[in-house]
Amino acid sequence: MNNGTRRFRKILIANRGEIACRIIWTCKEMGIGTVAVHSDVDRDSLHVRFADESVCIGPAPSAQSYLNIPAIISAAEIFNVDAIHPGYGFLAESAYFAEICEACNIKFIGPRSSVIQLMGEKVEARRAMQNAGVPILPGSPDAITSEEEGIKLAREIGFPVIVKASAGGGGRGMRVVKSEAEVGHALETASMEAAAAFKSGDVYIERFVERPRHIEIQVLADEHGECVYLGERECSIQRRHQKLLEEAPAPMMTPELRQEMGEKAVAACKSIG
Amino acid sequence: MPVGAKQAMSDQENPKPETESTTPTSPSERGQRDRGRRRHRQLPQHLEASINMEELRELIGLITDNALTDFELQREGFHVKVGRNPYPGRTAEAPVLPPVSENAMPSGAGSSAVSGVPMTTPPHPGAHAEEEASEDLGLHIVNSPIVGTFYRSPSPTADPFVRIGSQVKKGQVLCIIEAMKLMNEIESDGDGELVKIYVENGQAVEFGQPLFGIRMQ
Repeated sequence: MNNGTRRFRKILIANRGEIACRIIWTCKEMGIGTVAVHSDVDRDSLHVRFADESVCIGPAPSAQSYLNIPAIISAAEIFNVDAIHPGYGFLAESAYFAEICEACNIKFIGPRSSVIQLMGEKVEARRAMQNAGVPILPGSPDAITSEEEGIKLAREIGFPVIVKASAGGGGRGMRVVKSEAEVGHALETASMEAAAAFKSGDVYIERFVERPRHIEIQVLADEHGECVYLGERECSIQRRHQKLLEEAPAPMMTPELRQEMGEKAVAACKSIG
Repeated sequence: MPVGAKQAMSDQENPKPETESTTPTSPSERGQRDRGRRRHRQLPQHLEASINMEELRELIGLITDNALTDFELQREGFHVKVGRNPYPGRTAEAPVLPPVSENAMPSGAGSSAVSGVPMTTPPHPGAHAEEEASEDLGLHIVNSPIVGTFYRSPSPTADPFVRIGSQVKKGQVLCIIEAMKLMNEIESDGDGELVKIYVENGQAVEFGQPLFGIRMQ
């Protein structure tokens, strides 16, 4: 049973590549044992070589290896690790994976599964942020249930608007709508795409910003409720909704704006736990 | 870089005549040195020779080509030990090359010293498949499809599912691999005689790890 104030002896890194290497190096500095997982073709990867121990968890396709939850949990158990660090991507934002770790008494190095769940559902996330005092774009408070509702809301917000999948991510399940006539079709196609990709067809509407700057504030929180902000990254340079380049610090950012955004972000995180 | 190699370079910078080599040549000197170590001299002393980097590379090539895991060679004046990790996934070590002590020597003697020596492969607890890789040609290997703990019997008190020499059929349960408290029965994917078991009861296994060798019929 892991006492909250005792350091981890050994952790498993459920990832590969540069993030796995960085985590392993940090663990070495901290004197924490490391277990790397890899697919059979990644056997000679750098992260495998740097870790103290390693285990092959599946064949090449990610779905059968790095996303293979039973294999990863099984590996964590037989190597007797205290915690799993998911890195970024792969299972890092999977509320389901976090929940399984909790159930198996393995610490998940990340937010609680309930928090991941909340923030992964955009309609819920918007509501939570609004309650925390974070300024959000005007948009529907809930998922859209009919075309009429959609049109009415779009008129209120003012065109152009965008239809977005509530469970969405990675640039999919979104449709820009420039006029009333397009609303119905956009709702339908976005919803279908969302259902196929994210298993939920819920969509909502919000104002569309034509030329936005996409700024992310990095926050760091621990399980004792402490939270800090660590600066921002500008992720505006994208192609087809995939970020190409991130800049830090963001150009055109002022210290005042950074502080304001950072403090709001910390408050928001604390409010959702 | 191994310590031995540095010695070699300094020897080349200051070449010494053969008779003044750093290895003892008189019987009393040798006796004195040998008393301190466990030694088994295999060849006459005039073939006392070390090994240069080229031959070492060749040696390593021979070792990897024949899929040996350990090789140890002791001669007058030098001691070579090469180890290869037979278990991918066990630890993340690259092949280890301990220091090779090296003296200046004529290349002629060197090459004959290497070729005539029998290779020793000390038993490696827990290591399996690769040591006898050459014997496994033609065997159908059943690999683990999951990560877990390998058990030979359905329960601690029961008999093993199969033994060496058992005739197995496709679909027959060969072992159990436990993963997340679930017992997964692993079936044979062919008919034949079970001739090899590569893992031990209670051992942790990874995806793709060889479990059994079957001579297909």
